[in-house]
Amino acid sequence: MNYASGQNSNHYFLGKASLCSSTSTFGGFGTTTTTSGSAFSFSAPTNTGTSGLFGATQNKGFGFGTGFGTTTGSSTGLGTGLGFGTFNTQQSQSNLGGLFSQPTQAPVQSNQLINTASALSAPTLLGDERDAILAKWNQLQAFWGTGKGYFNNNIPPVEFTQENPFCRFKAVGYSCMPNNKDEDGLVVLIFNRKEADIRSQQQQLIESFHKILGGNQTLTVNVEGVKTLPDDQTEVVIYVVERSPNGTSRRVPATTLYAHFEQANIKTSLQQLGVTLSMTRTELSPAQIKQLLQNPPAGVDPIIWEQAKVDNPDSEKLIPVPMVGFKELLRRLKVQDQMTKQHQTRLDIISEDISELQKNQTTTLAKIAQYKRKLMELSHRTLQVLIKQEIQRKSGYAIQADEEQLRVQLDTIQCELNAPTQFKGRLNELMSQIRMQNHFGAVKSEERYYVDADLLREIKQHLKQQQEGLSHLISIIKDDLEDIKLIEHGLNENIHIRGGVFS
Amino acid sequence: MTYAQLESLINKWSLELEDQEKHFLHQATQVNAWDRTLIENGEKITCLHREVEKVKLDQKRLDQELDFILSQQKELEDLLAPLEEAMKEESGTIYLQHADEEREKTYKLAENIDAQLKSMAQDLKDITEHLNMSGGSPDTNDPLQQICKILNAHMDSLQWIDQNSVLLQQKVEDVSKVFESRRKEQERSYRIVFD
Repeated sequence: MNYASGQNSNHYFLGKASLCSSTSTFGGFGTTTTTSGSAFSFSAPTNTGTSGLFGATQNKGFGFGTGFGTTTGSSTGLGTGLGFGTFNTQQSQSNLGGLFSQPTQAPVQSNQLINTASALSAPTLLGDERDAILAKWNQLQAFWGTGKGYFNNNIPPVEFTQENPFCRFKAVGYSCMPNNKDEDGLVVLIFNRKEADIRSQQQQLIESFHKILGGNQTLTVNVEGVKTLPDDQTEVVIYVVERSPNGTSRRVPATTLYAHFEQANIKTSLQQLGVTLSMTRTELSPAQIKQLLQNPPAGVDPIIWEQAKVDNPDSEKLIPVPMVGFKELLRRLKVQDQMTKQHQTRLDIISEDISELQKNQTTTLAKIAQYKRKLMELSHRTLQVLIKQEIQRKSGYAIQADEEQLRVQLDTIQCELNAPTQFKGRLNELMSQIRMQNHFGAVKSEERYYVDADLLREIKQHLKQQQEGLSHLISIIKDDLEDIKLIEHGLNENIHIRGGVFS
Repeated sequence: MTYAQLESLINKWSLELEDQEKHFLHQATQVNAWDRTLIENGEKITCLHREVEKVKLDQKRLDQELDFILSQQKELEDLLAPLEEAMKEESGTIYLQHADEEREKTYKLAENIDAQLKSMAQDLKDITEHLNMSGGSPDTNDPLQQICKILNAHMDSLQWIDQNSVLLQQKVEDVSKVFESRRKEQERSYRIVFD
């Protein structure tokens, strides 16, 4: 299994209102999800605001409206609308056209703001002190983020949504940005079926996708990852590989694939398969990121937005995202739950692996000990065979000089070994001591043996001298090795030269 | 409903709203904190996984090496066995000469010493194992521990010296051989040229 740089993430569609124009475009934008690209991507599902995606078609005209997004007035609302329009090259034109062709929209926005203001402060519905009560009621509704505010007999009431700037249930969370390129061609599809279903029917799904894409033989649909989402939904990440006739293959870029899926007939057939949502998973360009960061979404106080940007724990991978309403919080909590469960399973797998490794370790250690013993035995046997052969080979000859030498050396070694205070003697002593210890049970002596200070100094001196001697020897050897290398090098060069001369 | 009732309801609800708002913000901060923890956990798990994978690879390699050693040892044994058989059969010859007996004694001595050395090595290993197991690890400032470590380091460097001096000797021999052959070639070529 591959691990992505597993970041926690949440899909988000930023505020339905002001960024509606963006919803359809920002496959990548909306999906502030993790890096995918592995079976182990920690990505999370999309917002319930996804209805904005399929419903984007309705909001298109109105998308640029709702100057609620910026309390600085309607003009900047237009400005941001335009700015966001540029993100989607296809849509922006139509939207801009829509905007300019309906100049009456602009006054509508500013009216809305005025209406809200008047609804909240000075409704003139009833014309007496009950208006104050009405004002309070409207305020309460605005804080809740739901309801209608009546303030005038002639003008229809203002609808309060959760995005209005006075809604109290607002906070800012952080979501992870994907960093896949468009060429990676990843498109995310949300199915409203359980993960187990999807997994068991994965092959059929792939085939149906293939058919939807036109059954082209050059295209192959591959599944990048399958993830469970809360509420029995599953997220499947796919990419399509196109093999051109001259042998090269490339992935269909995410945007083209996504645009293809967005076509009406394709969309319906996808929906029959159970797809509730599709979007691209591409990284946000720096321009997009800047735009995002600079403009607080609908109804969020700019100060709070700035603060959120400052508080961002990882500004490279996370961007601030508004959380509006308890439902949003609940969704996030569910995703966190999911994530934790995944963590748990991974940890279980890892711990199994580790115990497996430990088992292997013990067997390996035993094997190593066994092989060592075997090696000693074999070497002894080899020696025996050699000896017997030597004896037979040389039978009839007189004792030779080097044999005499060998004899002398062996005798010395034997004497040394048998010397009472060295080697064998001491070893035997130690062995018997140990056997005694084992026999009487290992009594761990708690006594600390203190070394006499003088003795310690002597030992230190001795060790230091030893160290110096050793380093001296080591440097000699190293120098000699260097010299030998030089000599070898020189000899090799000579070969080449001479080879040239005599060829 | 009169407006007065509405007003009282509104007031009550406003208080509730305050409460709920506090809850909301509290929850939101919690959610953010948990998000962060989750991210950290995810990263830690990734690191852990990577380490485990590394260890798995190392272990696999180790196993492969051990298998190789096993096969080599088996090969050696297969080679040795017939030789030993052959030796056993032919060892019935009578040693007539005094020199042969001397030779036999010498080599038997060598074999004896080899056996002793091997058993001593085994004993040493056992002793060190025992000591290591029962020694435990008191604080590292203990002079005995330090002395121990120093001695170990000395031992390692002595081994290194041993290995490298053998290596050096081999290289010197190789180089002198190459040199000799080169010299002979040169002499020959000079003789050809100048004759």
